[in-house]
Amino acid sequence: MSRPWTSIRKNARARQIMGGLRDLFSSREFTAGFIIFASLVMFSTVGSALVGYDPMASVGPPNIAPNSQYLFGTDSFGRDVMSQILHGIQLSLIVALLVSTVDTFFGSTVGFVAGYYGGLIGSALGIIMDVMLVVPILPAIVLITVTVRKVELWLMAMILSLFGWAAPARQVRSQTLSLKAREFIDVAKISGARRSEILFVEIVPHMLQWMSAHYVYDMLWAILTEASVEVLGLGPQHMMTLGMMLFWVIRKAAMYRNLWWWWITPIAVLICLFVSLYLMHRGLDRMVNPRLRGRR
Amino acid sequence: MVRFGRVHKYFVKRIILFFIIMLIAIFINFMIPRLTPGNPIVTVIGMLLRQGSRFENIDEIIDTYERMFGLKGSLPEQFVRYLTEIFRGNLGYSIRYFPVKVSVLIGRSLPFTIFLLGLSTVISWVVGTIIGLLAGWKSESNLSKAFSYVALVLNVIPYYMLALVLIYVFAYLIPIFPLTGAYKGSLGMNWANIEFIKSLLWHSILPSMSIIITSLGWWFLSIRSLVVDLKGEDFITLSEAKGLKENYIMWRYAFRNSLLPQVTMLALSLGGIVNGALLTEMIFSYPGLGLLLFESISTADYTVIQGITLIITLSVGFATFIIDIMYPLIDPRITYEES
Amino acid sequence: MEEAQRILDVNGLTTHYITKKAPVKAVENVSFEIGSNEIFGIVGESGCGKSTLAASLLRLLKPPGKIISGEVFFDGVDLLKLPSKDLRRLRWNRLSYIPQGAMNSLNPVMKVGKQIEEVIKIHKGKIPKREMKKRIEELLKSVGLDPVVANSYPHELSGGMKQRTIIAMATALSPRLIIADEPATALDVVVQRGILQLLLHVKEQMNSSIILITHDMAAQAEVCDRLAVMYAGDIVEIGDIRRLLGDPQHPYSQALISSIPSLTEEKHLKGLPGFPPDLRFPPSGCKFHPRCSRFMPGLCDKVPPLTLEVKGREVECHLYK
Repeated sequence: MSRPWTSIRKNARARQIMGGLRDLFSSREFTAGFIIFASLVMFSTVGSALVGYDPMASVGPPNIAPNSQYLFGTDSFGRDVMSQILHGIQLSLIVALLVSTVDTFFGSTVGFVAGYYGGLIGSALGIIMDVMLVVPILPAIVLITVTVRKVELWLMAMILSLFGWAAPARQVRSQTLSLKAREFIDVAKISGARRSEILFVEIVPHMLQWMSAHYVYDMLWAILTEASVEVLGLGPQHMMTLGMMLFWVIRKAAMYRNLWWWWITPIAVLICLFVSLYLMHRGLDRMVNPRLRGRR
Repeated sequence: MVRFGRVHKYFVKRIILFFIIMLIAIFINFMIPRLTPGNPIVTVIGMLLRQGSRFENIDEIIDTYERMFGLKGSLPEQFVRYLTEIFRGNLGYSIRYFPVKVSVLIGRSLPFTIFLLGLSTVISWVVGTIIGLLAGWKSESNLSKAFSYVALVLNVIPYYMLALVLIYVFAYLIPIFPLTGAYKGSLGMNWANIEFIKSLLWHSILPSMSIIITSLGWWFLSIRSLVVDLKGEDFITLSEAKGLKENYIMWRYAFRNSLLPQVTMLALSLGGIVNGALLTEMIFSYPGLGLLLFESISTADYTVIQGITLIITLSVGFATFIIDIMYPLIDPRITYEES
Repeated sequence: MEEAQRILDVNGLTTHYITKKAPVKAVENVSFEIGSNEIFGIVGESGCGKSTLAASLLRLLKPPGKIISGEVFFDGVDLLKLPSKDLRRLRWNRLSYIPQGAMNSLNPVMKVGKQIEEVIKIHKGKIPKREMKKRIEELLKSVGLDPVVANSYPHELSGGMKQRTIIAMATALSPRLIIADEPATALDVVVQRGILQLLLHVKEQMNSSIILITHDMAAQAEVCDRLAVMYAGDIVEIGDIRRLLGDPQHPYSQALISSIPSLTEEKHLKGLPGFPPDLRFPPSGCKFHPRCSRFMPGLCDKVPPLTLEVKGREVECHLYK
């Protein structure tokens, strides 16, 4: 029993994915962002294998400018700045991936349920989403972290996810609502497809595109917010993330003392992370919105 | 008028939504401290004592706190009490600076934040929008494209990072601008004194620069893309056919049509701008809410932190609500249907 | 046509769209004349180059479109060589435009009356408010609209009303020539008729000439004086409309006309086999030859036909040598 529709969609989907990847890398923005991002990841992984210092340990004399032993110099505690950077990148990425994944999956599920089932559940969930979007994030995070006092990195990630799921949820909900009403769902129904098939083959690929664009944006947002919270002094004190580096930099007034290697490096790395993620996001976004393609 | 009924309903609906959302936000603010085991204020004071701070009237503090924000009575009762106090404008007392009221501390810092934020946002929005309009209109030119790349990078840099760079440049390399404070302390807050006003402006240059330069990117990019899209529209073509001058078309047709989305963008970004400004203040020791927040975090002045988050939530929510209401009034195309 | 009578003289106009691969030859070596006080129709299938032709005449072509060669003499001046400042002054004043799809052609954030007013102001300078108001009212009345429309925004008007407003704008300065590109196509049939009658009225009252571009032959039969048939970027036949419709000479014109259903007689409808050619790689020789019923091998596919005068019409076909 082969419905003609089923075999058509299998080929179509494979072609979709291949075509999609090709389109993606044809976007200059995405490719540029990807290159920068990949370089940072490689720098961090390869670097940590080569440079062995414990980022939290005092390994040498403090406030030394970059030299052959400490490639990025040392900070006011005598810690190797290079190790801090390498380790910090990894931590930021882990947090970003965690937050994005939770947000996207949880948010999409909630949004989908809200859209597909509609009615009272839909409206109730909708209000919750709106509230989460309205509450200004930084003060709320500050409040929570101050209450909780002992902040672990994973806890930070959880808190960040708490605020981030509303956006994908809302988007998925409105997409579901609009797709429910659209004609091609009816066509699929007529051609005999099961409900769940409609779900996964028609609706999901549509949303997949938007979700990937948002996933990257969420990563950006997570790293940004995490760094902001840490700079304020609410971060994990026993770990050296990029944000914590900046916290110590401010605490020890590194800018005034011309300890340039200590404060330029985390800022430079963070900016590279932000720019690369943003470029990738824009590239993905353009793919999703064909109207923007080829627009300069 | 048949239309009035719909308009009426829209406003009422929006107001109700606003209150619901605000209520929930206040509730969250209220609930969070109660999620921790034990009496938060006792914990905090205990911690401060251990750190060596000295308090008089510890019992008085705890008692006042419990009375106003009390953990006595059932949860709904507590919430109602909390709400009533807030409506009375009473946000409690600062733990650190007891018996100074939280509202007083906030009242002292808020004007500076509003000044800095307001000034920076207006300047960056205006400048970014105008440059973006021109860049969008002449989007083929290399200059326009170059600006876009720059704006892309500026867009993602947080305000405080630029602040750090500016500090380095102007503290270590070229010490011109003042790095801390809102005005020269010796002058005192006298609005009649022209020296005070000059000092106020002078001191705000670096902090506002960090905000302006980085947020410029966002305004620039958003209106540029709006204008680029707009350029292909039929009514632009017809306006050319009409023999209208290019500048006229750019302002009257392109600008007018992209203004409204650009204003909405302002409304939507308010939350983010506030967040960024807070951190910038902290770095420049600018005596606004940001610095207050930072200090209260370091001293675990819990009531102040709560008060600040509440104020920020309420003001951002309120501002967004106002713009939500005003938007249909400005745009002739919007009907009062729910989108 | 006599020299004095001519208001538009197009010579060898060629417009291409430059793409990464081959250029799309949208308009190839088109020549025709328009006299004063006549409605000149241009008819053809979708994609034959009609709209590109209109845009080229008005110099409203957007990249990647480019006018490759040709001359467009309007009242003795070559429009294509005119500096932009002079072109701007001429625009709308002497040569106006009614675009396809009025839906999007009005500025959404400006009141309709203001949009008419700005055209008058730009070209005629400052006019006292009361007089301006009267003018706009008269204009709106002349197209069959209630003057209150002037205070409305475009989205408050129906499609037909919007189109009429644009016609009012187009006639505001009593131009010599109006180019109407599918002015009634997006509207329903009843409104269509109204628009066409309006155009006729405009021609008669204002002594303007109109170029009416559409794929709807019936519409043109109603109002046009002369007709040009366009195919694949080429004008294949031009002539007086009654005679052309009654006795078409070019095989394409013949096919077009025979595909119009008739209310009076029982007609065997004949479609035209094949598809319009890809204008990046147009057929050699006569562009119509792959679909022509009178195809002469060795000739039609090798040599492009010359324009010949047949029965008072200009026809581009090898049949009439």
